Amino acid sequence: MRDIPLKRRGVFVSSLLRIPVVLVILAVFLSPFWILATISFKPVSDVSSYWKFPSSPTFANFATAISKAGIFGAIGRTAIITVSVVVLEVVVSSFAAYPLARKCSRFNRVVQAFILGVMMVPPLSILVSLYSVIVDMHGVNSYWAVILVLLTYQLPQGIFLYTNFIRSIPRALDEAATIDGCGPAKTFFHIILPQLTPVTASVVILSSVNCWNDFQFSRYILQAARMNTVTLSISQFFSQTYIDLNTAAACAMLAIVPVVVCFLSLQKYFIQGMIDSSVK
Amino acid sequence: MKKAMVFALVLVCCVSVFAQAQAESGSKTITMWVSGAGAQVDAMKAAVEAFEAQSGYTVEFSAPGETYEELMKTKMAANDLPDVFDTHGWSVDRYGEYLMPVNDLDFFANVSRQIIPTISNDKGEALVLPFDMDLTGIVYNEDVLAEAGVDVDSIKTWADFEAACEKVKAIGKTPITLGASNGFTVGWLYDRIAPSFYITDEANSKAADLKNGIFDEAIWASISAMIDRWVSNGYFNADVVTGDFVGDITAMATNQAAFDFIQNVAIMMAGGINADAHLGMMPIPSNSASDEPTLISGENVALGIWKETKAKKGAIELLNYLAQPEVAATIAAATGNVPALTNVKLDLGAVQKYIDKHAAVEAYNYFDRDYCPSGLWDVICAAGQEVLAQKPNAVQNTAKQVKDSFDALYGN
Repeated sequence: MRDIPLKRRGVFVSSLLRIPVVLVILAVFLSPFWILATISFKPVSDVSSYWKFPSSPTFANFATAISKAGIFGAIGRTAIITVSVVVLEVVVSSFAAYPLARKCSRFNRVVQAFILGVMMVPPLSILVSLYSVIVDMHGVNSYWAVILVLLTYQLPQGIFLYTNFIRSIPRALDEAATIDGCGPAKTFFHIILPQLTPVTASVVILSSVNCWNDFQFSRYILQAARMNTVTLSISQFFSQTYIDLNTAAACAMLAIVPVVVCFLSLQKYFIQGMIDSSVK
Repeated sequence: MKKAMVFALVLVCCVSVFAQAQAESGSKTITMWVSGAGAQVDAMKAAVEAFEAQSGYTVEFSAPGETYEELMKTKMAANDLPDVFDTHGWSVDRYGEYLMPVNDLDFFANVSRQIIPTISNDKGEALVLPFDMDLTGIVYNEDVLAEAGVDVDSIKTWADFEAACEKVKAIGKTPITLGASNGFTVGWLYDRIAPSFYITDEANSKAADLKNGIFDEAIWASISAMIDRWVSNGYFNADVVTGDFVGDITAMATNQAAFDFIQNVAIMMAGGINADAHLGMMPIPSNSASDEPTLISGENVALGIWKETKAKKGAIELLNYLAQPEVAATIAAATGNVPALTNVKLDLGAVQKYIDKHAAVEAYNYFDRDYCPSGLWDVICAAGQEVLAQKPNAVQNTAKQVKDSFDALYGN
């Protein structure tokens, strides 16, 4: 130790001190998953603590989740809705944000305020009228209705993020493109769009999490059991006279697998996006 | 980018067309919604699938679980109800104006005379096909009471009940288990206690007042004061405020608790957790020695037909099919309740002997359904949670809240 310079020794000690802190944080973050796993592998007759892994784990809850709740179908439907909303949101909000960011006219400021205003409307306050409109449009039990409604509530956030990000891109780039003969559309596609990757990562993460976890709108629009999404499939195990926590936990375990796989395989893009976004 | 845009548009178009094709419902499609979950829904779903196979109709079956009532309220507001739906005890007061009378349907001749008044409106029109009748009181654990030296048949009044709780507490077990984080368990507690304070004692009955929209706040406060005393005396489980319904059943099944203010279905659920559990059902004590213990009865699983349905023929066929004795028996058996059709013969297993034992006990409909305006249930649950949490002045404050809500909902 004597040979190690004082500064390096300090770094070594502080690194050592960090380990227990990191372990505590890790434990806090992993504990919900641990509890979920223990409950999902427990038979109904096992009434031991949720923290304790069952002495004789069972896959029966997973079998019920697959056969009775149709969790794989639900994952597929949720994926269709999530991907559709996210793709549309990225396309529409980036298109909308460009003129809003570049032309600071009074009209555009009003438009932007209106879009932000939509974010402040509590979804529950318009539920009955929204539902009535969807019924009149024959949108109940259809993908397009739930996609449209979710998109409506996701767009303001996307437009807000894209607008602020585009404002931070120097106007000189647009001017240079114009001098080189680009119109607004060509400037957007060739100059602005390639630089939007960081903020797109943020938009994708935020809205895909919201869509994947959506319960409220899906509950009202997708009423038939054959259209159940992940959250709706899980909710059918809860009622006023019956709660099947074990099968619900098994459903949740299966439902988080695609999200975890997706995040792990794409995390370098997400992390890079966040870093780029913060530097910008 | 162009490729991405084209892909996105094609994707959305395909999805929409696919979904639209699925959403098209011909005249052979019947939408059906049921409340509840578990065995009750499984039995209903199996019966519906059998109906589909033999009739050629397609039934869009949906069991939204805990959100059922919330969804139905929205659907009523939008006047877009399912063709056939479960009224879960509210066939007349809440859903009455949306339902088609069923007096002329084939199954009606077999509906028990006992339940007809409950499911009929002022014009004498029966509105639903009832599968079972609740006949319930307080669920108790025989082994725990035996260990504590409590004779369940000697519990006639709330004072007797409190004495029994003391004995159970003395052996280190929980006298009453309740999971108030699930608000409905609190509602069940009040639903069981309230009749003994307001209704069952004929000399002091407030039934007529309640029916006329007059709510006595002081009586409600005395109910809450009793519950508050139970909390102070340590009769409830330590986690009464944060505990849940599953914990309730588990405590009863594992001989940790003596009493549970819950439906008979708990006896069957406890059997699934511990086959050796011995749970019974007792009448609800009275509030005075001059009164008698009572039971709670009422409509439970019952299906009605939306009066504006476009699938009326199919909906009637479906109800007639489900009313067949062998089919209706499977649905009633899943609830642990007495069948509401006279041609259904059913042995309720562990529950049957208590139904037989208390056959002569007078039964009253659920307090909130019969004597309170629709919508008060949530207020009762929330107010009761405050009492159980022993918030400052909760007994008086919540009595006022319940009265104010009662008056507002009644239109006073």
